[in-house]
Amino acid sequence: MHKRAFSRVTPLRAKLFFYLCFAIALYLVWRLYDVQVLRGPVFARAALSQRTRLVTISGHRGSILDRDGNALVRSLPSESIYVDPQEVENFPEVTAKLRAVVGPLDSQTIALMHSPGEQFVYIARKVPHDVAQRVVALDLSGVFVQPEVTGRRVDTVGTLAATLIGYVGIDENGLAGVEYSYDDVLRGVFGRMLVQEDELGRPIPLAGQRIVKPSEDGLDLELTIDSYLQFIAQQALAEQMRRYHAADGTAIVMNPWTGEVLAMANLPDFDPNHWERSSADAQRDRAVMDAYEPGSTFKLITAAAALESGRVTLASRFPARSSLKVADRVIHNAEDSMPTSGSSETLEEIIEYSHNVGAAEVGLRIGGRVFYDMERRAGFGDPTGIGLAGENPGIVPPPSQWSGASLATMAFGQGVAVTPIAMARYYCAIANGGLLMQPRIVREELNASGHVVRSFAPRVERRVFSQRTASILRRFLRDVVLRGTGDPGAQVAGYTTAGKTGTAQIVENGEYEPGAYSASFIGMVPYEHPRYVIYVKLDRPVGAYYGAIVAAPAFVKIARAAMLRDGILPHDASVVETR
Amino acid sequence: MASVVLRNDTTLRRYLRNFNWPLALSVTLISLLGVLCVQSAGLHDPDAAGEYRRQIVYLVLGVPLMLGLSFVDYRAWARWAPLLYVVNLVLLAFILRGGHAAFGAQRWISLGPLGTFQPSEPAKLILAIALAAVLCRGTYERLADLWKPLLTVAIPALLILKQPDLGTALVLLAILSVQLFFALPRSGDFLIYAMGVLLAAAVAIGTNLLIKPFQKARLFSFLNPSADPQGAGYNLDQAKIAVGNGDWFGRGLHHGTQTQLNFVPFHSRDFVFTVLAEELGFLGAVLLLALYGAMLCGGIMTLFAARDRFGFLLAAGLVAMLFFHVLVNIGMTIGIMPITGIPLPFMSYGGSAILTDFAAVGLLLNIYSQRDRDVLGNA
Repeated sequence: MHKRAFSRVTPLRAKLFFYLCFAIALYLVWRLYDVQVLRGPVFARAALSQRTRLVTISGHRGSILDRDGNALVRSLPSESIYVDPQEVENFPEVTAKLRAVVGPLDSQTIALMHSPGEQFVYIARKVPHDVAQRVVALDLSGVFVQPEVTGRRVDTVGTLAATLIGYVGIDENGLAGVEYSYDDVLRGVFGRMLVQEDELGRPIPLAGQRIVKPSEDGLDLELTIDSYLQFIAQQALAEQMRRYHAADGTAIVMNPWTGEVLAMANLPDFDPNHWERSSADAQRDRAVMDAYEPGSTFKLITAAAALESGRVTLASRFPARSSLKVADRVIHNAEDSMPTSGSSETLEEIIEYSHNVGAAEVGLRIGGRVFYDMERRAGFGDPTGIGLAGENPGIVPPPSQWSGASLATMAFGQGVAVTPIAMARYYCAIANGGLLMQPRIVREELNASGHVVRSFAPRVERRVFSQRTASILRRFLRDVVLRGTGDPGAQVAGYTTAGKTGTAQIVENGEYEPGAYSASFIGMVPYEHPRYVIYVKLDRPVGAYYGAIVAAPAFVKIARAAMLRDGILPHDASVVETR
Repeated sequence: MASVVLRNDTTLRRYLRNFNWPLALSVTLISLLGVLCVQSAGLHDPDAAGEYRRQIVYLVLGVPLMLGLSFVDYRAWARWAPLLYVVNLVLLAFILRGGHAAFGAQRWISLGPLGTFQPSEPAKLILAIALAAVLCRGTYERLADLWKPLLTVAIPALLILKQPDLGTALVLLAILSVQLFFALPRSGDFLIYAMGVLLAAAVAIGTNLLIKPFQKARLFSFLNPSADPQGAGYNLDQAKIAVGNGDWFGRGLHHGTQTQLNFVPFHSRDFVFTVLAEELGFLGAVLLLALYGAMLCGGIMTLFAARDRFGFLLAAGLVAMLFFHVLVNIGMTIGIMPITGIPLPFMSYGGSAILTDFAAVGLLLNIYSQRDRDVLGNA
């Protein structure tokens, strides 16, 4: 054999080299075993936590419906537009094109877009889907559209019943009105979903999403509101407000037999779709939040107490005076009251002509205890339980807090404060034969498939007075319209109406504000079997301030529209005014 | 007489008898596995989507290249070594001026529609040839003679460091070291050389002269990746999570979450092992390592089969080159080696690397095929 051409030591070294490589390879296998098998579960957990994220999934917020099931407010899927300034190539182009689609950008947004290091700037939140699609179509680098977890709340009827319905915040959290008061019903229950994400945090579609906790849709709320009556009430109120330049006003239509509120209008109001542009004052639901001194409409409490106590009968007579000194005060008849024919008057005439002095005499005759008990039985001084947040219970001082003239003045509605809804409810009791109903704003709660989950039956709080008393009071109210202060302002041609005027000075900071009045009219139609109790009040009218002149015309319009809507024609078709 | 037998033998039968089957088969199988992994890596990574098709093309070119080179007498390379070496230096110098930059380094020459060419890949092969040639001239009885091989390595290594590409420079060092290990007649001299390398490394790391701060940060991040999980340690953390996520049997091909969701960077290239380890698990990884083991055995067989000093040293250099790649690449994904960014042979996507690897195996095949050659004859 031939000798190898190179040194003999190398085969030895080659073996060494081989063993070294082999040892290294074994070490590699061992390390792999360590990482993959022994510590595999640890890394698998790390991998899982890295690529999965728990995201919130929203339940759809329920709609708010009117009593016929028409949507007043509903939630739509929504998207938001944001900019990552780091990826924007051409700022003037981006801002110009965005402006054309989403409208003007505020200076704060512009400033944020240009601030260094900023990576996320909202351009517009919760835009309609078509706007989002147009932004996507622009295909601008650095501009992104992301779906929102919560929907976009749309008030489809604009200002209709705006103060009642209220509004939601950016996260669809109810902030006012029904939206706030029934937030836990309307609001969906958030669920949780495990999603897989890639390195950049983008969710991987269809990559084993797992719902950890399913979301639940909120319930639809069917209100007692009748959109037609609401519209009419709002229109009638607005017209009177315009005519007398009133500062604010309230109109309520109720079904006296069920306590359902069919319309609740407050002015000034606002557009819930742009609530942030309106003042807090315009957003108030005055009908339940604001207590006022009612004036003459409160005389019906005095009358009820008098009749129920038995200390006054229809035949009882009271001296007809133009003024009465009680303790340190001299009581006068109001300017809008009407003179009596004789030197004495009955309870019926006191109501009919709205005599303050007479009402004070009645109050003094029946005594404070009886009067106060009736006030409380009629629900004044307590919230009505209508279920709207921020309800004002009103102020009905107990006899222990009265001064010398308190009883006399309260008897004609001074020195107490009540809310419009409480007054309307009291007149419902007169209309329905003496039952105090709980006023209701919600009829039913419906689930997404339209099935009734919960339904609210009419609720009788208590009997305020006997049926007999109720029918007497109703006749008094009829007299007011036929011959008294409501003649002819509260008469509706072709229909029988009944009701009471009220004119009160507005109390501001504990003092009567000169020249500031609230003019009201509370009535019912038709008189024989009232279907509707209609409350109208206007504050600070200019030019006139009698309830009969300022408020009653709105009552008339609402009453006539309500009757016609029910298919009840006037007694004589020729009497209906055509305007 | 053996020569008589050989003369009567047909060329094909002799070729087949002297064919290094373990080497050729293992690398072919590895490259097929590689296509599988590159395809999976591109599923959800738009940048890497079409890469596996190109990888197949490289394979179709690479296997004939390997077989073709196995017919070229390796001794010819010793004669061509000076020219190859100079051309290589020119190319390496050229890319520093007119090269194509990507991933923060200037490593590529654009070939227009054919894609890009990475001269630092064949540089490894050419250096193995050149060093073997240099080490054949002279006995290296004197330690001072070492300057010749050192200089031979230093010039391309510095050009490559300039790109910067620390990993490839380290491969050159590995080739040199293994070849010196076999070439130096006295073991003591090799030890002195090894000490010198370690000293130089310490100086380089201490002074920032040769390696850039980011390389240093990456180099040492494997020791403590949690120190900087978003920066240098990120790649390692992600690679390790992906590999660990594989467990025994893997998540299934195309179902590796960490690689498919792009948590692991460059998972068709330097980190292709994470795809295999995550999707095919420990068993898949061991299969791959077994194939590399077969490749190594084939390489060592070639070492023993070499009939002259040049063939022996060339084989040693090429085996060192392949093995070093495997060790460092797999090692970095499981946190025992610094992240230096060198490809996994026959697995990582990249034409220059694949073709270089096949060429290297082609050379080894030829060295092995001459095992029955008469040392002094031409057979």
